[in-house]
Amino acid sequence: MSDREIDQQLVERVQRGDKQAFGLLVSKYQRKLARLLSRMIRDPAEVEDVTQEAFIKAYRALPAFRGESAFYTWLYRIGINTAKNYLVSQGRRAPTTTPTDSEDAESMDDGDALRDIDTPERLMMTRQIGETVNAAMDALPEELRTAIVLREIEGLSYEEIASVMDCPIGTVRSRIFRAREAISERIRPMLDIAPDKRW
Amino acid sequence: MTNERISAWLDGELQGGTVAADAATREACEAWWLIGDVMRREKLLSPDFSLRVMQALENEPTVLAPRSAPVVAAERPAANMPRWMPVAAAVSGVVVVAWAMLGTRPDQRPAAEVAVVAKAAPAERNVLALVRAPAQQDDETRAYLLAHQANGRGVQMAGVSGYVRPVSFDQGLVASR
Repeated sequence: MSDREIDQQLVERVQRGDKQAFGLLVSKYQRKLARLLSRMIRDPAEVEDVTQEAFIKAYRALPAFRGESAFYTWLYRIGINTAKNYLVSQGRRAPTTTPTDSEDAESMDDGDALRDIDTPERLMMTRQIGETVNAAMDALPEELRTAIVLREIEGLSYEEIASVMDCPIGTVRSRIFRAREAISERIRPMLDIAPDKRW
Repeated sequence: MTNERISAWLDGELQGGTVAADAATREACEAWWLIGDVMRREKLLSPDFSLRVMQALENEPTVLAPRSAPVVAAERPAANMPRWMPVAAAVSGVVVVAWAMLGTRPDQRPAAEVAVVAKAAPAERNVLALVRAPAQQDDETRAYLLAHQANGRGVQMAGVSGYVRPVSFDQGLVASR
């Protein structure tokens, strides 16, 4: 099952009335969409507001989404239009370098530049989470670290990872899961959201 | 569903399965997507961003839509048609017309109908006489037919009317002569 098929599965669940399934799409795409919109809107707080508005617009428009394009492409298009409308309402113009094609948004790599304009608090949080993840990675056994890097950084499939690491696919699945569990144990306290405050 | 299966689903490696959007699944997925994004150096938002979006959606009416499906070619039947179909249709059209035209040719008639080509005079060379009779006619009858073919009743036959002229033959009349 491809990434697009997973999204389509979630979209269909939302279209059948499962609102919580939309929350999974929000969790998955919030940072990617925010990165895209950061190219148009400089203020990080505004970026969050516009990203949130884009998700709400996407939810409202979801009945009309028929899967002709990938969900993220459709979502990015809504995000770009939301940001443009926001800038117009603020009497500002979108930067001329704005990626008007949502397909281009996937290949953007501007994370370093964005962090330069973040607030000190956000920079602190980003740095802390980054350091914690890195420390947790360093503490992982070699085979778990290799498996999660090949998956998350290199984007390899389980079959490809199994070939690289010369082990069964089931072992790859187990290693990636154990790596995730070990890292998430470290960062969970930093997310600091009480269980009753979760969506 | 075990968390390992959720992890596999998140990677698109859970064949034919899905996950419930319960609290445990959401918490696990949220943390794991965050880890992946941190490793890829994505921009981070407030930890409660998803919560705020979902709270904002609480006031939204629940989405209910017909089951979506990818655009199918059925909406445009021509999209499914092989490229050779228009050519085949044109060729078959020509064949049908040609068959209708040529099917009336005298030489394609049943064996009982024999076409006799007149050879007597240049003016009569293209005249065909159709007779429903045995192939072997005696010379007298043949001469009679040739002599009287011009008096026969014309028949309008599509495409060949200029070349076909039937004549009648009465055995008794021939015998009386």
